[in-house]
Amino acid sequence: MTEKDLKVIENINKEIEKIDKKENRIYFFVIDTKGVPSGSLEYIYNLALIAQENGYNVTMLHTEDDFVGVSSWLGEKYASLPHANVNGGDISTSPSDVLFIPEIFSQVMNQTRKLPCKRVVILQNYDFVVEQMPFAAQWGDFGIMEGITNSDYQAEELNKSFPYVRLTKVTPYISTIFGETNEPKKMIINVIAPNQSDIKRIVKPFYWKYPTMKWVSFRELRDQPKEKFAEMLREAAITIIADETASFCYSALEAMKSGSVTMVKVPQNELDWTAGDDQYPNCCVWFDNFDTLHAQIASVVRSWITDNMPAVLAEKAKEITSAYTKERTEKEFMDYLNGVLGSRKKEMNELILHVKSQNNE
Amino acid sequence: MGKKMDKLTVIIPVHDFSKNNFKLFCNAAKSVPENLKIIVSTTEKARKKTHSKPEDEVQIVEEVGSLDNRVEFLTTSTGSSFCELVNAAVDTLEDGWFSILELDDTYTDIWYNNAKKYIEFKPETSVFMVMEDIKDFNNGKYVGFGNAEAYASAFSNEIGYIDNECLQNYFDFYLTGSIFNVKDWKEVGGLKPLMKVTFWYEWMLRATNKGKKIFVIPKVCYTHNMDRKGSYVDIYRKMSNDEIQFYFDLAKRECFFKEQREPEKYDYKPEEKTDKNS
Repeated sequence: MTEKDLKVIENINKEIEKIDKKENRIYFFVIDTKGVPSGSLEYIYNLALIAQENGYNVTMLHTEDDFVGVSSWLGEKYASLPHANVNGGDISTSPSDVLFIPEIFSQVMNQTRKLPCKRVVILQNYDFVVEQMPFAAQWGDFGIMEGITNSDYQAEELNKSFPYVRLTKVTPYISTIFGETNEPKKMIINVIAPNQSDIKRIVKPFYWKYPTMKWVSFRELRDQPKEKFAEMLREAAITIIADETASFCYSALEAMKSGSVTMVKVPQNELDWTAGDDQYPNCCVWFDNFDTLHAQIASVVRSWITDNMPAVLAEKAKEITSAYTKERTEKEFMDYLNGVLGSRKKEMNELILHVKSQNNE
Repeated sequence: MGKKMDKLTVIIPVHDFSKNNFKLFCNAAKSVPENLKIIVSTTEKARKKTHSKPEDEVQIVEEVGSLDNRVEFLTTSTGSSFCELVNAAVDTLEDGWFSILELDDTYTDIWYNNAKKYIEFKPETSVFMVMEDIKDFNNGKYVGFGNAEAYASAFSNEIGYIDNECLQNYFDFYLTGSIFNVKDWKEVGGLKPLMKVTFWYEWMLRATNKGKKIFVIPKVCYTHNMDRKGSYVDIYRKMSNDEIQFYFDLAKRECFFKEQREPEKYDYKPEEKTDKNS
């Protein structure tokens, strides 16, 4: 065996040893939302935290010199995960490392294609793939063959375009900071809508059409730290969510888990929790346009203040939200990650055998 | 978690037991949950005027259900106004909570459970008002919600609460159906009969001046029938704007005194109008 081959085998064994001792690195590329809360980003941070809690060396990668991060809304537990700016130049990867890239970063997929590490895409919104991928290029061109996703719908949509990409579902979880207490709620209506004009379309005509309900208070929830957000959901009788482009609509699940009667705009795409025979489950009140929403709000307010809310609403909400536990996410993600690293080790062992067999010949 | 609603008494002031009122009374009393004690605060004259006592009670038992040890007739001689009948009934209580039910109104089915729930979680609160469905007594038509203003955005310093600041600008509240803490009530003092139509407003100002917290339960717990002939709304409507203004100003002045003062301070004296003014 040549000196070079021996060196190759030694290096590969070092990589295998790093995996065995969990000394390899798990990188997560993240976007800096500049302190603006994002369900999709929280999903990635949750995965990173789970990996760290399971003994892996986790690093969050970004490209911002003035990185703001998540401390203001996700808190210190998440913000204290190691972060690094890839433009700083001191990031290196090796074959035992894994790099997770959100679907929105098509450029990063391209730029990292020659890296020795395993690269996995995190797919949460197929629309971002359509938006960000260059014409005539696809994931395969960037060497992306594998990903994790938060919903079956997203996987189906992606596989219609890139059927060769193997996607594994890792179900998100709803944090335990969301939840109901026995404390009675206040007659407040939270409104969550990314588009400011939608809030006006909800509130103003409601007062015009229902002057006897002018006392109803609407409260916009925007850019709140996670714990404050959870407290506001818990406090309010009703929460309206007008975000039909959301790919998962985490806020709706969070509101339901907080015991707030949740009114949700019918999504453009199927959500993970609306899938199945029952297209729109009775866990919330659905609306498809703002015109009919006003009558629905009046009716829900009247039902709530007279204790006439249908019990099925709370029962179904509990049933649905109870599926999104951290335990489930942790099991699915760790099974996946351990599986990826196991395969990686297998590939490395095969490579060693290959080098040895070449020498035997 | 806060205090429990250990004892709750319902006071029904009845100054006139005429036949129509008796029917209304039975209807009101039937809306009181079966586990609660009812004090019918009335006058000897009112009772004598209608049925003889045994028949009276038999009929109430028939109408209202099992009333063994549940309904207590309190006959007062101090006066027959709403305020005097309420004050006399509260004087018989030592602790716990009480609520006032007008004989032409009713509690809704959800009143008691919600009162229990909210009292448990707001131990610092002295008065739990409720949202009310307001109806026209004469034709049964729905008029609107009562006490809901406490939930309007920026109405007071804390949503759901009525504080002294918001009372300076708004006074249209309904206190019947509310649940009062007996000890706090006694600390604040009773209603002032001479305040005419603003006795509740004056009491709220007095309570909030003393730092008592007033919270509105955001549930429709009471059906309030307005505009019955002889009711306070009826009296209010017959008053001149000047007279109404006089009593609101009076309430703002008198709320610093626990007891009602000399009667002449409460008399409205219309300014003598000269020919020129008129």
